[in-house]
Amino acid sequence: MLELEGLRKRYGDRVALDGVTFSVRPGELYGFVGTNGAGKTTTMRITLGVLEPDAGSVRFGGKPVDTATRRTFGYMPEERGLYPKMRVGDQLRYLAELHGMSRRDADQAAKYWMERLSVAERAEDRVEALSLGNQQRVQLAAALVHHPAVLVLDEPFSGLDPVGVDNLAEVLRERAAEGVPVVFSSHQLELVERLCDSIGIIYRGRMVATGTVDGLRASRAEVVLRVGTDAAPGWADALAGVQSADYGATTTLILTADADDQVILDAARALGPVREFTPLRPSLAELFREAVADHNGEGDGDGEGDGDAAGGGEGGGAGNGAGGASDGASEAPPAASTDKEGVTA
Amino acid sequence: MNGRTVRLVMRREFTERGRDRGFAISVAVSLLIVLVAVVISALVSNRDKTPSFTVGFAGPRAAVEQQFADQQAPVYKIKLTSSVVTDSAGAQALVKSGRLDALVDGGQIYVQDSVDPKLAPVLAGANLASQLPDLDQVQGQSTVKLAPKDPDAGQRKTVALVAEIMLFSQMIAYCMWVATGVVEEKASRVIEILLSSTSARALLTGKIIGIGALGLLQLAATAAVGIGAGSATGALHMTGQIWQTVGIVAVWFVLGYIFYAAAYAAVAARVSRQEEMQTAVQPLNLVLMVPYFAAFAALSNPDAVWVRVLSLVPPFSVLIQPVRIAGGDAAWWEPVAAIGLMAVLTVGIVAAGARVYENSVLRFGSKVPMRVAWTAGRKA
Repeated sequence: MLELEGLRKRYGDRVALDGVTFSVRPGELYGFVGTNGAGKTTTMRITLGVLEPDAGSVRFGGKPVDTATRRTFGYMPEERGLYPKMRVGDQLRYLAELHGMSRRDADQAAKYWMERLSVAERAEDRVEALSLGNQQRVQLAAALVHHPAVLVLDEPFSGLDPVGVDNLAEVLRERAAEGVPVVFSSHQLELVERLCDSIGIIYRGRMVATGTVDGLRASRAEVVLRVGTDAAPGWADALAGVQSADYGATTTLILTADADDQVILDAARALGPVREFTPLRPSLAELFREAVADHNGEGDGDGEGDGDAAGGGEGGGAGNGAGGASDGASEAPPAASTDKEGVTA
Repeated sequence: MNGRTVRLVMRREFTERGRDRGFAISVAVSLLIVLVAVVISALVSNRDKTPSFTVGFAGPRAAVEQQFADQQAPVYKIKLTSSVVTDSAGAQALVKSGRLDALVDGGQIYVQDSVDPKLAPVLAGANLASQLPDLDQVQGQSTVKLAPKDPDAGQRKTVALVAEIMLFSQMIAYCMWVATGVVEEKASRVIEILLSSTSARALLTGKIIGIGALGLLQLAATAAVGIGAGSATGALHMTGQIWQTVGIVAVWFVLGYIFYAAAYAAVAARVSRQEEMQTAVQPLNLVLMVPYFAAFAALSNPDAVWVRVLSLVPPFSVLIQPVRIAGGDAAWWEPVAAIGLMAVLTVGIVAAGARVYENSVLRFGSKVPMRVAWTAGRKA
C-alpha cells in the first residue's frame, strides 16, 4: 500500500500542499483530480522524492520510502522529459538500468515496451524525430520499463489519440491486476470515472474528497430526480424534501438527502400518468465541481486566491519542454468536460 | 551516492557525446592544429639543416686526409660521409655523375663544377695536415662554448604553445559540453525522471567524469598523432622529454577540467534554457580566456617574475604553468606546488558547485538567484 500522510509544502509565501493525505491499495487504480495548480504535481513529485515536503511522509508497504524503494517506482512527470537527441531504444535501456535492472533485463524490457506501445520500429530514431504522440508513448514506456512496484503518472492520457488512450488504459489495468498501486492524474474526468477504483479530489493543496465514485455520490447532500409528467408547473413545490424544482418538458427536482422519492412518485401519479421517473446519478465532473464549490473561498492560507494562476510549483516555468508533448490541446478544463446527464446550471 | 549509477551516467555521457558530430569536429580540429604545428616546425628545421657531403679520398695520403676531414667536419657544421677509394678514375666518374660530392686525390680536388664553400675549408685543412711530416703533432681545432644556446629551445616553445592551445580549447569545449548537458536535462525536463531514480550528485559526478574521459581520450589521440608525425618528419627530437610534457599537460587538463566543469555545471544548473546558458557562462569564459592570452605573452618570456608567480596561483596556474615548460628551467617544486594548490581549490569548487547544482537543477523558469541556489536545498 502506498500511503501519503499530511504532506505540506510551501513555496515562499504560497502554500502548495496543506496536509495531503490519501492511500492507494495494491491493485488499486487511483484517479487524482484537481484544478490546475491545486497541488497534484507537487504531490506526485514529493511521492517520487523529486521534491522534499516541509512536513508529512510517504510510506510504501508500511515503511517510509527511501531512495532504494523509490527506484522501484515508475514515474511520468507532468512536464514530459526525455533526452531529445538520444535514440529511443538506448534511452529506455538506460533508464531501466538507472532503475537498477541488469543490462540484459533492461534490453528485454525496453524491447517489450516498445512493442507493447507500438514504437518498436522507431527504436533507432532519436526521440526528437518522433511525433508528439509517439514521444508520449516513449515517455510511458520510460515509466513502465523497469517493471515498477508503484506507478505514479501525471496526466498520462493527455496527448494520446483514442487508440493510445485505450492502449494505456489496458496497460494500467493490467499493472493494477498484478497488484501494483497505480496513481494517475487527469482532467479527463469521464475517463477517470470509467477507469478508477478510487478517486481523490484535491483543491488548493487539500484533499476535499476521497473514495469511490459511488461513495462520493452517496455522501452527497442532495439527490436529483427527473420526472416525466403532464402535471402543471409547480406541482412538486410543496412536497416534503423538495429543495427546488425546474419545470420544463420534464420536471427536474433537487431533493434533500433524506427525502423519500416514493412519496414524490405517489404525488406525481395522483396528478396523471408518469412516463419517466429517473434518479440522476451525478457524473464525476459534477461531483468535482460541487466539491470544489463547497471549498471555494475557504481560508486556506493561499494568499493568491484562484487556483489556476498559482502555478509556480507546478512546473510553472517558461514551459519549454523541448522533448515534451506539452499538454494542453487535449485537456479540457474540468468545467467544460463531460456532462452526461447535465442537470446543474 | 551509488557507484553503479555513476558508472551508468558516465557511460551514457561518454557514448552519447562520442557519437555526437560536435565531438568528431572537435577531434578533427585539434588534430589539424597539431599537424599544422608539426609541419611548420618540420619546414623550419629542414631549412637550417646541416649540409651533408659525400667525399672520396684516393692516393697515398687518403687515410690521413679522411681521418682529419672526419674530425673537422663537426666544427664546420657539416655532415661528412667519407671513404677511401682505390680506383681514382672510377671515383671521378662518380663525381661527374653527382653521386660523390668531391674526390680528393693527392693535391687535386675533383668536383663537378666548384667546391661547396662549406666543404672547402675541411678539405683544404685535410690536405695541409696530411702533408705535415709529423702527423702526431697535428691537432684538429675544437670549439669551446662560452654562451651555449639550448638546442631544444625552439622546440620547447612550440611544444608549450601547442600544449597551451590544446589545454585551453579542450577545457573550454568540454566544460561547455558539461554546461550544455546540464541545461539539456533541465530544458527537456528529463531531469525529473533521472532524479526520481538517482541523486543529483551521482548524476553530476557521472556527467563530469564521462565527458572528461572523452576529453582525455582526445588529448591522448592528439598527443600520439602529433608526436608520431613529429618524429616521422624529424621535426621533433626531444622524444624523452615530450612524454613527460604530455603527462604534465594531462594532469593539468584533468585538474583544470574538473575545476571548470564543476563551475560551469553550477552556473548552467541555475538557468533553464540554452540561450540563457550562453550568457550565464560568459564570466567563466573570461576567467579561462584571460590567463590564456596572458600565456601567449608569457611564452616570449617564460622566466619573468609575473609568469613565475601566476604559474603558481590557481586557477591561473592551469594555463600559465605549462608555459614554464618553454623556459625549461622550472624548479622541480614549481609544478608540484602549483598542482597541489590547484587541487585544493578544485576540491572546494567541486563541493560548492555540487551544492549549487543540487539546489538549482529542479527549479525551472527564470534564473535561480544565487542566494536560493546556495542556501535553499530541496527543502526550500
